[in-house]
Amino acid sequence: MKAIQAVTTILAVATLFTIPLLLDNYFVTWLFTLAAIYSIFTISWGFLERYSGRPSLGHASALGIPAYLAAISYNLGFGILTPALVSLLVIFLLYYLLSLKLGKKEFIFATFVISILLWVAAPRLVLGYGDTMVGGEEGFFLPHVPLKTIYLLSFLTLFITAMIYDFLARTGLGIKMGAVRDDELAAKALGVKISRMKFFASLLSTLTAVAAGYLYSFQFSHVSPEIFSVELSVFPLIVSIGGLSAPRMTFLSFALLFAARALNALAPQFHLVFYAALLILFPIFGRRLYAQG
Amino acid sequence: MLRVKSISKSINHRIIVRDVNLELDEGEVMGIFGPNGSGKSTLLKVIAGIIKPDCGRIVFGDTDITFLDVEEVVEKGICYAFQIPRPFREMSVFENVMVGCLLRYSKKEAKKRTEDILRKLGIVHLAERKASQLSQGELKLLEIAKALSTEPAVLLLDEPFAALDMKNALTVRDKVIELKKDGYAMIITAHRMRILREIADTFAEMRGGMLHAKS
Amino acid sequence: MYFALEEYLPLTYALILSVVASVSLSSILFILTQKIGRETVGRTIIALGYGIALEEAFRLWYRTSYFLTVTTDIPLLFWEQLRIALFVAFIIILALFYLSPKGLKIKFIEEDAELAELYGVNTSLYSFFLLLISTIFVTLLGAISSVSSAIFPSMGWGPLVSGIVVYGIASQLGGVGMRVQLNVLVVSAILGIAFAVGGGI
Repeated sequence: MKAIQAVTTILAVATLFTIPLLLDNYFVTWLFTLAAIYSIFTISWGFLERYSGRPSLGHASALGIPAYLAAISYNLGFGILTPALVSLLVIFLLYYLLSLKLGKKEFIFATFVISILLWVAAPRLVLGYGDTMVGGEEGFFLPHVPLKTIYLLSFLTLFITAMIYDFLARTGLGIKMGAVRDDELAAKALGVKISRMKFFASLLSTLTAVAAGYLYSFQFSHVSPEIFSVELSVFPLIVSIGGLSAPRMTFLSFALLFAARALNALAPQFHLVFYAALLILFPIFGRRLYAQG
Repeated sequence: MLRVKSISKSINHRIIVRDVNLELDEGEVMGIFGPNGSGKSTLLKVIAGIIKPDCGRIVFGDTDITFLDVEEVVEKGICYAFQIPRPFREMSVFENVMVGCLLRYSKKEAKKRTEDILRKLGIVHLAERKASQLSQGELKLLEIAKALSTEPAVLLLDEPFAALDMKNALTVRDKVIELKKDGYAMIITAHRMRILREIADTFAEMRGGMLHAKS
Repeated sequence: MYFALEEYLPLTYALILSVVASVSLSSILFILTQKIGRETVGRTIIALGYGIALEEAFRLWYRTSYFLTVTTDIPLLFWEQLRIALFVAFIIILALFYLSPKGLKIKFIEEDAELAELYGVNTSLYSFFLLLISTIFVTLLGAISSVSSAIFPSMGWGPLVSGIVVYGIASQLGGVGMRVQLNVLVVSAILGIAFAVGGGI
């Protein structure tokens, strides 16, 4: 069963990778790349939920912080490597400490509040060079990276992330992390070191979120306050309705993004209503997620 | 082997455990009975390190374990099985038991040990089933299996026969008797003394937080 | 979101219309949370979806991203005084509830809703009643505040986040009934002063 899951993951990513190659169309490649980034982002969220029982309702901040720090650092003339390390540290500490100190419910509220605060604060971030001002509502620009490069990097990262995500469940560490997700006190009573498990879950989630944040910002060569939007934060939550395995999360991330984009093209006003409807109906489908809330 | 000296615990200004003393030797089984709210569960949780006592000492072997965390107490060899089973609901029965084994052995060895424990408790046929799909009787056995996976010298079984029909209660009782034969020291709580009669070597009654030895 | 809702209604009819509209909307939310959501997390997600849906409804209704304003001949000071009066009225009504025989039941629900249900307290009725009271007051606050604030669809996020932060901190201080409300007051005052001193966010 588990070997089948690994094969499914490989086939899923390989199929999605091949379609843009076969169609050889700029927009298709661009859209599939974006969907791959959304999948990495969703799996990053999954690391927190599946391996520490802490679903975030503000995961957009884990995507936005590295993107913003990279853009600011680039605009100030520093490299883009240091902000990656800084954002790794910041997001990791945030998730690790919050998951240690807060229960499931409180974690959801805390992550939600943080992402909204960043969403509200981001437009006020302005950098000035003499007469020129950058940032604010418009955000920051980043150097252009060829789409083919982002496409290859995104799918490579998605493949590695998805494999680690599912493979972890088969390892001893993954089983112990699963125990922490299901019942912290019961795991503790067996001798599981809760803080160590949450350390790994937060670390893996942060690593993938930072990768997704960088790919996202370089895909657009631009980062704006919308990266912290509720729309992005609730995306993984909605995807999780379909299950928490890597192939399901990957396929559903692609499907949801395509559906949202299609809706955006057909009736641009209504695509957030679509998200809102899914959120309202979420408890019917996503019962497992909060069953022990 | 295990000495509990003058342990007291209050919760919300109410004394739940009052100046309790007890001693447990290797391989000995102690049965504690008493009505609901008499402090049996709290006492076991205090010994297991899940709740910290207000005063008193708990010594295991030569080590003072009074203020150790539950993980450290388990490492020393005392494991608590919850009154209301707390399985890892999304995991299989096999994985549930394997969690404890993985903390002590390599994955290969842990698998072997898990299988042995499931066989010992007669639930090997449930290995692949999700814990959330088990009946109450099966959950009780799984709870004991999880505790056994930590290879304890002392098992603290909190009302293992509660909320079970007669058939299931007898099945669990038979398994506990087998564990006694294997040499596990145990403290078992129950509402009534009767079910403990065939298992325990010594008896004590808990009433109003106080423990009274019974013969 | 009710705060935002209110801001979109004409000032003349604001008080009546906004109360009627928000009571209807809160009733719908209540039915959704009762029928679909079971636990706090589920209900929170439903409320979030509902909030986004309302925000989008206003965006579609006005089809603008510009700010709207409400002008009136009545001096601003009057509206500020009205806000204070509303605050005092709200505290008095809350205190009266908690002091009445029903107050004990509300405290019971706050302490342990499941247990209260088992003991025969109609938790749904009380939840609905409390939701209604808070809706009416938030709506009135929105109406009164509309003259001194810019109005746009997503304006509800700020109060929503402040509410979660304040209540999150206040609930950590423990207690039930008026004690929680007093904690909320203290935390709001401290944070309000801190942000005012720090220049706001």
